Amino acid sequence: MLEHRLTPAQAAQSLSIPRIVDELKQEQALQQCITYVKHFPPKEATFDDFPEAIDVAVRQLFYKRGIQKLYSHQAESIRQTLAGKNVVVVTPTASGKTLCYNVPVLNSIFADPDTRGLYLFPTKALAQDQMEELYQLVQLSGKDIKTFTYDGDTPQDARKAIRAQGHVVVTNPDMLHVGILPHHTKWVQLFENLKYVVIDELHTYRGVFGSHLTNVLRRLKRLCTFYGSKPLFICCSATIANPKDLAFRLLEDTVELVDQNGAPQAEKYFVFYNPPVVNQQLGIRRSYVNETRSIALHFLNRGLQTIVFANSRLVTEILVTYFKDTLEKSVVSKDLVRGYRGGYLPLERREIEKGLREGKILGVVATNALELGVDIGTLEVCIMAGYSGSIASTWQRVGRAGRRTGVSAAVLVANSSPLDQFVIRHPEYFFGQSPEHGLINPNNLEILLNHLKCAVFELPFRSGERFGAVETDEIFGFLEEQGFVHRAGDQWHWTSEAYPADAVSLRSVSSDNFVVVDMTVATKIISTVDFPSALTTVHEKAIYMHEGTQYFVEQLDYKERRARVRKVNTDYFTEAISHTEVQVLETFESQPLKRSVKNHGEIHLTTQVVGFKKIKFYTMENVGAGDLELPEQEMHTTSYWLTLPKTLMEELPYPPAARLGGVRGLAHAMRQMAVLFLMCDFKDIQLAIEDNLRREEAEPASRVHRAASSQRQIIFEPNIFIYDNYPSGIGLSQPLFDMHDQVIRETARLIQSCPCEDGCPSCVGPKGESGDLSKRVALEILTLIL
Amino acid sequence: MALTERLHRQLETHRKNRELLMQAANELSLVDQSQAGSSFGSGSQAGPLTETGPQGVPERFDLLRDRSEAQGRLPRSIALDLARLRTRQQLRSENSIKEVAGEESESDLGGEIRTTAVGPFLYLSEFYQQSHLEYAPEAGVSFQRWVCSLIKLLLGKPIDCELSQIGFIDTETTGLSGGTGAYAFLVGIGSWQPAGFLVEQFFMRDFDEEGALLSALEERLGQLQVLITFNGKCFDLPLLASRFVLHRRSWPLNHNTHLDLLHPARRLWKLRLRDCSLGNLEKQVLGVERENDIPGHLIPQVYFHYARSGKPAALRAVLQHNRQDIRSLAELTLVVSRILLGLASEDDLATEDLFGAARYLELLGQRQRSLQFAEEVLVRGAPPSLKVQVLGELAEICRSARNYSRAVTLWREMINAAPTFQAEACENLAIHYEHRAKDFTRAVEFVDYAIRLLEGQGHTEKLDRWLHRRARLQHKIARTSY
Repeated sequence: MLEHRLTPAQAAQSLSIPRIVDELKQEQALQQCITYVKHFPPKEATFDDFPEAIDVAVRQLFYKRGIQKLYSHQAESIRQTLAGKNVVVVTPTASGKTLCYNVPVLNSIFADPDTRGLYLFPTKALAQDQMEELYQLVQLSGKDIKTFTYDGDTPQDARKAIRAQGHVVVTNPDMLHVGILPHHTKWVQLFENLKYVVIDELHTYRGVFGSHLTNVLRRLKRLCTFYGSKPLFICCSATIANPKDLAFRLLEDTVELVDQNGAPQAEKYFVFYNPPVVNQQLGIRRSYVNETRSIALHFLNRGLQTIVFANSRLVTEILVTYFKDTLEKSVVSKDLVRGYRGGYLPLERREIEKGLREGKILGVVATNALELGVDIGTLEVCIMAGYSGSIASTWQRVGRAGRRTGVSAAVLVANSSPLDQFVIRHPEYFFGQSPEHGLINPNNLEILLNHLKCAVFELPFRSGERFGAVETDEIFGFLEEQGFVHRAGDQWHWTSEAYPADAVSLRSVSSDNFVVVDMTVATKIISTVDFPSALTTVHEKAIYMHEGTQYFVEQLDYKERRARVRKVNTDYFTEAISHTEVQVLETFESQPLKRSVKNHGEIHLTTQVVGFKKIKFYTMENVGAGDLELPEQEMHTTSYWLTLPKTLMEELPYPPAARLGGVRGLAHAMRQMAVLFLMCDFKDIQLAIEDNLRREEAEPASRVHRAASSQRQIIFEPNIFIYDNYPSGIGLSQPLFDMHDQVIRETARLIQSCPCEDGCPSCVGPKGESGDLSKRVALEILTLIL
Repeated sequence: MALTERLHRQLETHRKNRELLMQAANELSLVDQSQAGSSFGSGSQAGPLTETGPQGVPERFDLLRDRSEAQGRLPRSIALDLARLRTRQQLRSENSIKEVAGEESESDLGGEIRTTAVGPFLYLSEFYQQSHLEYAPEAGVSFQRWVCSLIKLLLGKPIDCELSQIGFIDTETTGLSGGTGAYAFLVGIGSWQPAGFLVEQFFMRDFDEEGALLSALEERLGQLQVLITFNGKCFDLPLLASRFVLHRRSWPLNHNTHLDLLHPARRLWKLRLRDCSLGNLEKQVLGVERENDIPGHLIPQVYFHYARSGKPAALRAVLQHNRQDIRSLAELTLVVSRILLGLASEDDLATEDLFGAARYLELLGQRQRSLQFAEEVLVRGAPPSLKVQVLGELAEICRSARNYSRAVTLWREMINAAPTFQAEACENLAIHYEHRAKDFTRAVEFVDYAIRLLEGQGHTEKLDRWLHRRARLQHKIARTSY
């Protein structure tokens, strides 16, 4: 962790990186494309001593690892923990966060060998990695301290020993939920003596996953209380806007924030690159994948270790192929560039990580699988093919280059989505804005009900007992009606043969899904699709894409939850057309603004997939369509919506169809900005447009008739709904309501500054979809309401 | 908005949602009722039982209740659909209720309510003078000797205890999937007493009697030295241990000897019966025919129904089921003892069982008896499906026992008896004649035989090693003939 002297090779590189950046800037063809270069000067480390209370033996252990002193944030965090406070440490990648928990945990095991610790990591790979590090420390100490990973890969016959003897159990929330808590009677030693719970990568627990985690922690704490322990929590997070708030919501307890980074930071260049426009009218830019390739080669050709991040598995594979074609010309240089993504086998991953640390691998193309804290040593350059979707994860990626010393560079290559275009054209937003908020809604009823089932399975509930902040009696009343629980004396008991944790996946709201079965050669399950997306991605005649291969969907068996597919090679893909109706059930808040009204509340959605389009690759031409008859889907959820009053709409000097196109374009851009500010996944929120006045007029008409006529109808008073795409909502609507002004302002900026003429995928959507006037009308609406 | 209020409202929405889903499901006839809930991610736990018998009743009640509650708040069109649906549902529910009501008659379960420091529970006991094995008190002593010898044989652990200190345990539970949400609502213990075979049952009439049940059980288990179960190692005992932890009680069975009869039973009867569940063994081995027995998979639902309604009719069948399991377990223990200890007359045993016993005894290091049983199988004339296997394994035992001449006879017999080529026997014979008997010419005969057959069958890929062996043998023959 201490400063290293630069080796001659490193010194040479530190010279060459500024030179390459200069080269890029000066190259004629690229001049237009580099929108911004930010230079970060190096920063010295701030050191502090080990806190007094840390056992000398523990200190010596770290001395042996070459750590004489702590960075200031490490010392501060350890002091808070020793003072009995929950703590959340928020510092950049590679600032030595693991020390913040390994020191106090080892310290208390040294003092009392009965002490137990539980480490939670969001992925198995990370757990494995951290286990290794801890294990090496323990080896060095020569003490009989047992550390184990406990997850789905742990052999059955090893589990018993781990349960009884493991001082530190390293696992993931899913395993805690399904494999540990429901079997807590086998873990008595752990629960009776649990002193520390470590939650690393806290920022990953947002949205649905975070909402689940809060409930898993509620269950954990219930059991600890039962066994008479009260563990402290040590959380670590990448930089997000509200770490303390997120930690508070996850733990439902006070948390101390430690965010003054004491680690040194290396000198760094951060370059923003926007591929050149090749068709001004349609707003088409040169392929960002090809641009990423040529920029990365600037660095790779000079022997600089480079990591390239891609946002999908497919792009990862494409880039690996490109680099291999160019760089690996001889046997000696074979395996110089590797891919790294989910789906690779653990052993292969370990080998790549090692190769990177030892410098044997020059370049790696990765998905977000390498964003988290897997140790791959220091790289010199980070290139991002497309914006990751969040400020926080972009910084995580950038942190992969130049972890400690020397000069490093990061390049962001934008694609043509509105999000990327907004960020690339507004670097001041990116650098000025605090990163996104981590939002969760642990009391989403679907999620809550599922975890209450698990909790009462684990331990009966006393009447009047709370679950977190939630009063439970009424909910158990409901579950009793369903036959899941039964009240005896003053306790609720689980009365079902089922094992409820099996039915709950922490990564989604409902665990119902479809399997996709490849029938090409032999029947083989190739993937699963969750219930809501099944109807739009694996309907009959759809082209389903998996691992870069196209499959034609022959049959969707609704009852068996199965889609039968066959490999094909077509030059098109399909996009489902669905018709959505929105009904407002209850408005929680409604606020009139200058010329519009913003609202949030609960809505009822009826969605039906009515057909699909065939779209040609590369040209994106519409080459055909088909009708579909699929059952309607209903959902209750929460939503934000913007009402554009009738008077405002009538003021627009355009024909009705153009007005509608403008509203559509506006909605398209607003959704993009909402994703940006909510730090959620694109699929977490959905869009719907409904007319306030039409309902009254159209009341007697059947749904089918309305679906057909809605295209022709004149919109008088549209509502733009941006809703949580999960049953009961996951808590995104109210924040969106609160940040309405910012969303509208930035939406206007996005559309204004877009260089296209009449709309493009980067602002109001492709011209063909919303009409020629879409961009102009959208801007006029914005001018009126701003 | 206050959280509680909001949750209350959400619950209402949730109810409505279930309605909509049920309705859609019914109309589209896409899913049946029990599955309709699962697509919503919450109702799926009702399990596969919902469509059978009285188990569906509580759920159907829910439907009715939900419907009437929700009606007032639903849009008009949905309310109309619901009304239509309700009539249908109501008819079905009423029929089911009648069915159940017909079964029920008001009477209690018998037994006595016992009070412990932590509350009451129900204790039942029943004596059986006569067992299917003609239990007689004076035979008790030999039972004791048998069981102790059996334990010594199977667990390699000498044991000496009173007959009454041997307990047969079986539990009835609310689930089979493991985890802390499965309760043992009924624990039965069988033991031989001077007056006959006693089955005691510890039963919680509702979930709040579990503490008392465990407290009494702790005391009773403390009096036992040996526990005998069927699959208790993996199921009953861990589940009970977990219940003790949940009540923060110490586990009373740390110093007892435990014999799980499942594995010996499998070894003895798998060949003949395949299904080695206690129920099937009882039928096939003990010849017991149960009347009106309740299928095991219905038991949890019956208990839930009882706990909610207090109506005992179906539960009596569960108590009876448990008693019968325990009696059968005791008898099966005696049967296993008799076979493995050589007390049974061989004539009583099916040939497959005899062979099963032979293999098991070999595994337990009882070679003498193992050989004896296996030979007996041959004398009787093993069924064709078994014969080659018996010969092969017996030959293997003989070879291990260095009885080579017998092994050679058996291998030869194998080749003659089998309809297909016995490569292994052939090879064993070739090895025997080459290395032990040094009769190379004989060895070559078997090798040639194998090569001929393999060539005939077109298995040329397996030929190499045989050709190699023949070359070596011919070399040896050539050398010795000079």
